[in-house]
Amino acid sequence: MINLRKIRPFQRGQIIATIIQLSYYPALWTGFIYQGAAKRFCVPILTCWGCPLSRFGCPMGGLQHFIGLRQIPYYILGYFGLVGILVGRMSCAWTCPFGFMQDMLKKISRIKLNLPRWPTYIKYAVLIGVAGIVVYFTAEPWFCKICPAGILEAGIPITLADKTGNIKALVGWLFKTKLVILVFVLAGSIFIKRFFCRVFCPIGAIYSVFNRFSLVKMTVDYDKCYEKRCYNCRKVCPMDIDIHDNPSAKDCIRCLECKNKCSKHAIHVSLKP
Amino acid sequence: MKRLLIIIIVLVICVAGIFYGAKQGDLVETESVGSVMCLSCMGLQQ
Repeated sequence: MINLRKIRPFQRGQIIATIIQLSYYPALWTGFIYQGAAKRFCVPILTCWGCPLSRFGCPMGGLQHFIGLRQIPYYILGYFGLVGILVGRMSCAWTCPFGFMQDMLKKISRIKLNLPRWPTYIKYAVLIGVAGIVVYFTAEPWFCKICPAGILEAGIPITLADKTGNIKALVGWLFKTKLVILVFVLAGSIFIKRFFCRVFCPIGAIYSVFNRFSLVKMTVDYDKCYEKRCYNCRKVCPMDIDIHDNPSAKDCIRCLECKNKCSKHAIHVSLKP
Repeated sequence: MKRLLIIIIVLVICVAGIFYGAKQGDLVETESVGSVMCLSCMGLQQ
């Protein structure tokens, strides 16, 4: 039996956001994906718009589409900037189903591997290289082709639901490669907190740049936390960062767990510019 | 004060970008590309 009280506030947000994002239930009996005006609007996180249940657009899919067409993606860039400058990486904590799944996977194992700092820069290379330069020259959405969220939300369900055999016949090297990436990410998430978000997510890479300037800001009252540190903030952080050292850390997803668990009430969230 | 200025400038640029993109047809383009089941994006191609 799931104890609802044990579900953290940001995880409740993730569950509600997932239900809203994946709410096109007619796909379950028609087999067709949603085609309508809501697809014009992107959710602020990684989600596969090829998922039969998906009602909204994926900003990373949209970005690659416009880069592939060699057009400036004004709408998508404006959207990323708007979300980023208002809340920074907060949407990663409160609305991302893939992040929620990683949080759940981490509960499987008590073994915790610490990630060095350098792999957290890989996501910038993924953003600029795979979702940018390669897309520009090939006109193909290459991040979508390797996106683990895409195969989990769309590729696997559609293949399993296929009764005609037409889609199953299309399973080839790309599907298998994507499956290997998904297994790698899922296995990594069991031992490393938010493995994909910290290392590979290109949307997280975009929002992380805004963390320092965003309207929503984390602050630490060092006067209250000057004696013996309890390290509660570090222990509960889903991104494994030490907010005490840097309240504007690039990887802080503003889940507010540190604020809620701080024994000295030294961590605050502020909207003051 | 410096941070407030950055926030306002970025907000204005981003909102202008969204409206300009919408005027250029980005929203319709986003809807049309999102309404197609891209099999290769799902890893489904031989």
